[in-house]
Amino acid sequence: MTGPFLPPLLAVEGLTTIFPTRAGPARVVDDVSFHVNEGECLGVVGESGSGKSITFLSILGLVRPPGRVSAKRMIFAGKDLLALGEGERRAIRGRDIAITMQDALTALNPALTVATQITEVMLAHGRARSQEEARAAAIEMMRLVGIPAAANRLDDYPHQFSGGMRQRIMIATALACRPRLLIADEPTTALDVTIQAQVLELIAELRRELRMSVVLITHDLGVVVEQADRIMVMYAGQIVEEGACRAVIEDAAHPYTAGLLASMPSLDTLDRPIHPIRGQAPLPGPMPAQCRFFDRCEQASEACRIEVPLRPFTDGRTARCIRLKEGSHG
Amino acid sequence: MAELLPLLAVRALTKHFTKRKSPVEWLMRVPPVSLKAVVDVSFEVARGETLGLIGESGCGKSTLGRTVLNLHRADGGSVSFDGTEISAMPEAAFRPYRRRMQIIFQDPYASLNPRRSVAEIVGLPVRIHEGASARQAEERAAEFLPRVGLSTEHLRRYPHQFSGGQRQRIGIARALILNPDFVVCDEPVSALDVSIQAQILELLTEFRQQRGLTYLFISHDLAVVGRIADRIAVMYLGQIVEIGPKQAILDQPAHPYTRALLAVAPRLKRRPGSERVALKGDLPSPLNPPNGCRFHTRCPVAKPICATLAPGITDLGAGHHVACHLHGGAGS
Amino acid sequence: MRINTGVQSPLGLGWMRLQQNRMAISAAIVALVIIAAALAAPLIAPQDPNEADLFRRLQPPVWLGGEWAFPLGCDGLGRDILSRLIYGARISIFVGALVVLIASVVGILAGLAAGYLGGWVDRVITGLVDILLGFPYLIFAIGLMAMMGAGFQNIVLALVYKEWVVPCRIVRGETLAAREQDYVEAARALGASRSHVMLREILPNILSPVIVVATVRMAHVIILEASLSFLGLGVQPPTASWGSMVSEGREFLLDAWWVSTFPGIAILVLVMAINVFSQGLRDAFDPRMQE
Repeated sequence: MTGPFLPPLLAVEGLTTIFPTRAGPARVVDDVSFHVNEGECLGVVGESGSGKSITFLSILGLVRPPGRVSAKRMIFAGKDLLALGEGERRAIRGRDIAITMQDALTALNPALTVATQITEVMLAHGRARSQEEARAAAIEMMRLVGIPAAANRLDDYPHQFSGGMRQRIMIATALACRPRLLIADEPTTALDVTIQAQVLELIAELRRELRMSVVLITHDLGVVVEQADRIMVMYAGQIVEEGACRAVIEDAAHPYTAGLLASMPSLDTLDRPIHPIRGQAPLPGPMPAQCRFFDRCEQASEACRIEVPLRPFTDGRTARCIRLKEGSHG
Repeated sequence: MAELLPLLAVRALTKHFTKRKSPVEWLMRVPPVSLKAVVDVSFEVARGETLGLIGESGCGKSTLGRTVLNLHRADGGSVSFDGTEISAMPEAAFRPYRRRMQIIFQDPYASLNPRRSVAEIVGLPVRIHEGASARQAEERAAEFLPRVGLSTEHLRRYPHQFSGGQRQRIGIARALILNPDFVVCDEPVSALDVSIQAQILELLTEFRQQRGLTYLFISHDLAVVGRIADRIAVMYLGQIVEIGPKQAILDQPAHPYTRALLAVAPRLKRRPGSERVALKGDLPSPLNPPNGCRFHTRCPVAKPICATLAPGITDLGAGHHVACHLHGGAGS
Repeated sequence: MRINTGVQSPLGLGWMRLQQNRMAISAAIVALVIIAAALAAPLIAPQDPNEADLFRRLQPPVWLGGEWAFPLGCDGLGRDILSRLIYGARISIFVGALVVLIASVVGILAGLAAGYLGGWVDRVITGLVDILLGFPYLIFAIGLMAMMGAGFQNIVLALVYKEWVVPCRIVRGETLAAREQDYVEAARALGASRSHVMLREILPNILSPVIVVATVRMAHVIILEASLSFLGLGVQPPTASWGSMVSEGREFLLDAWWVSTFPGIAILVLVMAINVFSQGLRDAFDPRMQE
């Protein structure tokens, strides 16, 4: 991790993304502020509909109308993303910030060979001057992500690879331009367990070798525990807890984080009875002015019927719960 | 003596899928391509017991579950349910058994007919097996819904109006409304959010306790199976490579594949780096499985014999069996 | 994202979307007006469609010096063109609807059987479909009509003989996809009969594309019927049909353009209305067309 004096690689403040729904405008991402340090792995945890993916699509400018994105501040590597035009934004996307999607089969173009898809990005972003140079770099990249006989398989189509291999190819495509930040959106969810481990191992290795920062978006706390330096838990569009990974896992402050940990099937806790969070996450739409976890929280009281702010409470950790006061946790 | 009889006994069960030849292939005399999804699988499930069946995609675990229920016709071996041989029964004779043997599916979106209301979906088994009218079936559905955590106000709604977890509850209601003896749970929580997974597992556990249900619980997730199963069977490329009581499998795994699965299973405590050894390579194609031990291409401790000779089954005692050359020498 | 509204069933939602599509609704109104006119022909037709009067031979429409009793003029036998158009609509619409209806029922049953049962049933049905597809439609129908002789019943038969292939192929393909769905497996696991699975589980889910295609095909069949009648193989004179009216006007095309033109316009308007409406149906009901 980096010293306190280096500015973060990515800093976001007050990011809000609104989608219209029949019930009214839905703040799918609601006033989200966070940062990613140089070389750090940030785990972003949440269930479907928590806004974890949309947050990063918003930062990359990939949210389509009718969705609307606004933010107070968005700084990447010293550049103000909000001040950039669409062209400059696109230049950063893919070259400096790369994203991999959950479903590698649909995210790769089935009609183009793997070689074309990897070299295209490099040529488009000026990371290779000629076709030959790009091809050589593509082979190098495929070797790096562990594809056997890379040179021979360069001209294969995505469907000719297995699920785990496709995920690797997508990572190779994302890494082709040596980005400073890799956003991996559920990189393992579609994969078998033994293959999941390989892909996570690969991301960790590449992070060390290429010294890039990684944002790991996942619903699986188990994935985050192994990989992340810090984690950020999202619920219904808001950050509900954020802090050093181990501290949060060992001693969750927000009832939602604690509930997630208690519901997670883990071989360490087989004897513990199942204790699920009751109910389900609210549908996207206008929210009442109260804690969004109110209906599902076992510790909720009348005092929770206010907009709860995200507050720091102990060494570098923040959470969105009224029961936490500064320095009171423990 | 009936007490000692297992509820389900599967012997040497085999299921192949043969690709239909196109006219051109037929003319060219291309040999038929056959996918051996389940090969020579034997196991028993006692009454009231939950057998967890674990394996990766394409290992044949879902096919096995469906062949046990006669949704696929077995190509070899036998399935006996409550003492009766069922795998060769014609569908008409088997129909009464269908109410005693049910299935819960993985995908809560695909498993409910989008054009049917909840009342029709949950009432269907009552109509088929008790000849009930639509009205009576709806009343029965209304009585049963609260037991899976839904309410009668949901009766007239359609699947698209529910979340994934609620849909899975509808699927569970459909499977359990006639009070079956045996239920195949085919990855029932894999498609759900973590907090909802726990809810569904709790619901299934409750039903088992209340009704003495017997489950064949299929999953790719050892931690989920560890939660609910009494015994665990591990499947790789169409075969069971290890089977035994849950504690034995989790604490003293005998097969290298089981060990690998345990090593990559999600845990909340960080393990020392050396323990997290990922398996190398991909799952081989089931169309063309390796000779000898099917796992030898990925096995970290394979010996020369593993590539040529399929291992026999070794009894490790206390109901723990493994198919591996590391235990008990050469295969039979 | 789920939408919470009063309407709940998938059909209800499709209906709601259809109502918001103004083009489709206007097209439906045009088609309905023509259908209503055809049904109410005896009440609204100003003249007897078959009453000939050679004194009125080729009388022009009212704005070209004709008289109000015969607003669109008269044909070569002095019969009122408007009245013949109204009566002729009955033949076009009736043949179109009947052929598509019979073909859909036959095609759906054959397609379901082929797709769900598979095996020799599938081989026989797909074989038949492939053979029928080998013949050009119009020539096939002309051949049949030549064998069976002209007449209303034979037109319907001649067109149905091949028309069922269209819904059959769609239904077979959709059934092959639908039968792999878990809800079909679930019904089988519950012990549902084959006919239940085919008719109650699969059919409702594949009906949307069949209905959409049926409307498009209806427009097509109306043109085919007009073509057969144009060739003199359709309904026999003096019964009016749009196709035979176009044909009869051919010889006067330069002196009395109205004899052929008005039935031609009628065919165009009806076919366009049906096509635009079916486009709307597709947008509203075919789930794959939604985002």
